[in-house]
Amino acid sequence: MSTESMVLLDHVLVPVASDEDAHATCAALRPYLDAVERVTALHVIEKRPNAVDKAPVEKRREDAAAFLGIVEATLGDVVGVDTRTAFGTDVVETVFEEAVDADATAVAFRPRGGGRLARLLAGDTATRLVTAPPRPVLALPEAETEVA
Amino acid sequence: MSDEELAKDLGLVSAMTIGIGTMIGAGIFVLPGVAARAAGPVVVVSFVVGGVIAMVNALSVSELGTAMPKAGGGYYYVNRALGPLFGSIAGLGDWMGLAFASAFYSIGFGQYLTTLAPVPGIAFLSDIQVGALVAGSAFVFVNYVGAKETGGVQTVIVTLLLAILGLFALQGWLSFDYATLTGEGGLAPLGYGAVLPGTALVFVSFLGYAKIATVAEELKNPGRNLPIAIIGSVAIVTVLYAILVSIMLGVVPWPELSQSAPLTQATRAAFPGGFAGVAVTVVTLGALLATASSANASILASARINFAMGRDKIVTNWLNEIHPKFATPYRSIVLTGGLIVVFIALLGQDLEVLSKAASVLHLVVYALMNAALIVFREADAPEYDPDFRVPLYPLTPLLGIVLSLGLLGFVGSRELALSAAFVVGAVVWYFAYARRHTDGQGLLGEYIRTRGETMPETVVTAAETVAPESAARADGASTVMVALSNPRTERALMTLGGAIAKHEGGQVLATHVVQVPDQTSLAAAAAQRTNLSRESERLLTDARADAERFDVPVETQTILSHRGVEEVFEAARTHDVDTVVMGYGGARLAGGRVEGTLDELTRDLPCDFLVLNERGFDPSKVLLPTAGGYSSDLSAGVARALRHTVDADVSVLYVADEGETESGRAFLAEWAADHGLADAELLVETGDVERAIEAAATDRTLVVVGATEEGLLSRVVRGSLALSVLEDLDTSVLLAERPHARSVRERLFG
Repeated sequence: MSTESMVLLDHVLVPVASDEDAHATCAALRPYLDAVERVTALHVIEKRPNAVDKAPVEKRREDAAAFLGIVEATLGDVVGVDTRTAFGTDVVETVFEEAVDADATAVAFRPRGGGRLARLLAGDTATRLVTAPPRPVLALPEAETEVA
Repeated sequence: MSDEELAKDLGLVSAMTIGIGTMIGAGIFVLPGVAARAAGPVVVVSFVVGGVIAMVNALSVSELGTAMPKAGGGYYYVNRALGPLFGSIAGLGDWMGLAFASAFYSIGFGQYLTTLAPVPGIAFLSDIQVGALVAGSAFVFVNYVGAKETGGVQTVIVTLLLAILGLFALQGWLSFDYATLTGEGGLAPLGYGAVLPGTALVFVSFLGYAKIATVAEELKNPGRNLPIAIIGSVAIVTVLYAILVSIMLGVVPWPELSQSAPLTQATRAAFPGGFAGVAVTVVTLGALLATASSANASILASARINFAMGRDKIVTNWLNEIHPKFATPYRSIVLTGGLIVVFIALLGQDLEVLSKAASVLHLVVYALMNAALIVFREADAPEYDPDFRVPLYPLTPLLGIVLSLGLLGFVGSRELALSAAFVVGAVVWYFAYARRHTDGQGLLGEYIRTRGETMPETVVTAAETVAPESAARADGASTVMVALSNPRTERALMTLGGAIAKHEGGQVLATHVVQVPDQTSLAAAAAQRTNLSRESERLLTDARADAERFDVPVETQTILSHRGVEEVFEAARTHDVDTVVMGYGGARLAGGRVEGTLDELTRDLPCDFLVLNERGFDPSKVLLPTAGGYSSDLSAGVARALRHTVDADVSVLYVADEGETESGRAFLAEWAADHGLADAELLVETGDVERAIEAAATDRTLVVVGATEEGLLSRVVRGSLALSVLEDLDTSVLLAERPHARSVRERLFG
């Protein structure tokens, strides 16, 4: 392993979007953990500025804690795990803001696919993540067998 | 900007537009025709009376909202104050009321839609119903996928609406003819008795101000903005309605005012020939916008109510799951949407049924809310500290109850019966489902049950009959929960728990927390039950024996969990525990793993926490270092309990700054007297705190330390305790942390 890749993966920020995404992201990240020093798990709560959100903020906070807890519980015994919950109107922007703030060396994420309709409605986060990122971005290949 | 500020990003204007945007909907666009036919020109007074009733209730909502800026609004206050039976009525009533209102708004949308474009009727559905169904489904869809509109959109919509209505009012004023208003029969051709039935009919136009309270937790500076937004929006809307309806009736004689699209008709009459077409189209578009925004806001508010009810387990929390892609409470929205569709299809032929059912259910909730306000004030809960207080208490909330229930008398028997069926349904729901699941008892129930001797027996029995099942367990006496995970520390922890329970005349709940590795599913762990239960049984039998030495009532339970410490917090909340006693090892075990969650947790302790770092436990010689920190009340209480129950010898230590020995001595004497420890040995040392504690601890057996700042427990769990001496001492150390006043309030109120 070259020193560059060690540095690149030194401190990886992983955004997780949901319960299932947290499990799958951990599974996808697991093969590369040897090279990773520290993982910061991040959940971004999307806020619409000056508008009432469809979901109550308290519920979103509770969920965030649960999702991040999964990452800690799954990876915590192998690598140091920090967690963050952030609010932002633009998920992608917030992910990078947090990556810079946490001093992460790279952002690793699992492209979540989704049908064309869902992408149209919810926005295609994957594409936007890899467009002009301020930090290196790794798209994790799906793990062969998902951990339940 | 901090996360907190981002989470609370609704300003005054946004809050105001929620209220106004919800209220200005089908009510003013659809009902003036129907109401004028029923009441004559005095229908203007009907609107004003509706505004007055709304205003009295708005004052109460403002007080409750500033005291408890929580999601759920009316339901939340009623549930806290009057308990889950009335909570069920308020929550389900508010929810169904919103579904009826949304169905009504959708019908209003349909009525204006059919004036704009032909819509076919299908089967037993009229063209208006078909339009309403399409609209209703669209509103539900938009909420399901969580359209990413910003707050600006709502502000623009409301501004646009006010502009359109203002334009109509101006032009209408030019065509206004007082003779048209009075008509042939005078102002009250049907008698003044028609005023209140008119109010009952149009009251739906005022539903919406209370919705501001359902998003109170997302408001900036709720103490100021919430009352201004609620009261302000009611005032604005009332004045606006009075002007608009007067002008409509001054332009079109009341017997001729359209039953379905009166504003369109009045616009056509008011605007000069060339402009009439454009004006009518603009007003119609305004009507569509208004009804859509009302329906949208109502669907959104209903999800908040479901959330609050789900959190208290009045309904299943399953409803509140957030869609992983759209970030919306999609199940709640689909269910509410289903109700709206059913109401449109079955009752949509008759606008009055929908609007009145919505009003009745809301009025019931308003009455309960006013009662809740009185209970909060009378029970004198120290945590109840609203920034805004209703004037002329108790007159205002009493008036709110009288006006809200009084208006029910003018609604009509059909709608009353329908709404009564829903209220009965809510009561049935409570006894069939919610009573077994929910925990909170409500201030009123607690008040009655803890004063059993002085209350009439029937009242106490009634309170007990309706109390949630969990309340029968708690029943007033204080509960000390001892969280056990290790047989080695069992006796030490039970001794502490038993001593405190005995001292306070309370009971012990011995809880075996079995932490299951995450790789093992809870089901698999339960399958290995035989092993587990043997171990658990042995531990809990020992625990029971130890508690019985103190002659205190003891209950036991075993919890299987992935989450360890988190589960202890959860159990403490569920069982309404007053004190948790746990081992240092148990707390440390979970350290790091769930740090994010735990940080949140330990910032908001559900009760007093005592964490014992055991080294040959012996409570006979207690050292109590104090700096008068906020948890020292608790550590002093523990010392008193040990002195009372196991004859412990207590010494109190204060470490003063160099040369301040005298003032230190004075402080300590006063502190000890205040905390019932005046006869304890008082030690004043100077110099390094850790060294002083270490020296004093040498010939003592137990050091009890009260947290001097927030988050002691969280640092224990994470292993970052600043006072490392506490880990290095040879004696046992007991850390005591009491929730901050703020957290006590949060515990009681959510």
